[in-house]
Amino acid sequence: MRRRLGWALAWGLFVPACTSESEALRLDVVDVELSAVGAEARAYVRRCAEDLARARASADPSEREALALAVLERPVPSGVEGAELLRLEAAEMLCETWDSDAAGARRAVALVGPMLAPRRRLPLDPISARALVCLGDAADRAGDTDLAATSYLRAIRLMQMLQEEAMP
Amino acid sequence: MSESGVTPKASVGRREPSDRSDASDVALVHLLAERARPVETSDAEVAEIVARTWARIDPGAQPPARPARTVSLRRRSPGVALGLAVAAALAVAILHSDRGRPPSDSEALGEAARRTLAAFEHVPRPSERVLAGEAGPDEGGGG
Repeated sequence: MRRRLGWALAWGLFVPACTSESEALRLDVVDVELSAVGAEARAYVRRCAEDLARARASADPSEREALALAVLERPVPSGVEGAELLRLEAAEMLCETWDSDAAGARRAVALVGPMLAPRRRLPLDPISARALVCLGDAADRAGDTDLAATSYLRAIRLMQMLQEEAMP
Repeated sequence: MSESGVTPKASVGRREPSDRSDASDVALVHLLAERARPVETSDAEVAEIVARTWARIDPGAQPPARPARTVSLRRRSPGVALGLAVAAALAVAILHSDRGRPPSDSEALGEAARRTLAAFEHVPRPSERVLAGEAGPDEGGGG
């Protein structure tokens, strides 16, 4: 009797644990490419790309932060497809810029975490994997090792998919 | 390249094809959607067929984005499925081990992720692709 009760208890704890973790490891992807139709859409894409290039070239963290934030705050006009690619690039840059101390890492997790949440569809592009690894690094530094581990695993799985896509 | 989306199955078939070429176009779109594979942007012919078919099915509407796909172990080959299952089981074991575990669990996973990411270092970032004219406003699009 006691043995059966022990099995039942173990099973009752095991199943919900596995269910919640599989949700944390969920990865939905979408094939999307960046494109712009219309003058406003083209200007948006061009401006975001230029901001990100300037940020990447800048040695000043505050300038990098301002430029990356500008990309995230800029409203996406109609006619743009795949704007999430540029936004994820900006998020990854912010994550890297902020991930120098625990407080910055917590800010990075708060900003980037929702963008990469398991319920969201991520572009099937290396930038999603980069952002997930960056989120994992920030979460690790912020002390959230569970989020770090799931982010790393999702990044690895996404990269496996990219490699499969590249195979003939 | 922008407008070369695969028509989702739910949208195809709102109108019946009117002739034989229509039927083959729609069949092609069905096939592409069924296989859930991305249309190669360099394949202008397929992109044109898809855009033309979509225009006929729903004139005036923008072609939709490519269909979303949900990762499923059932879709992977047995080897990959086994690998993913092992990775998932490892994750469950790691995440549900005792709270006093050494902090090296996520560090080891991070190291593995960074090593894998190194294989993609040569791939330009989205903004670099735009500025190189490989994506975004300088190619395709129109308008």
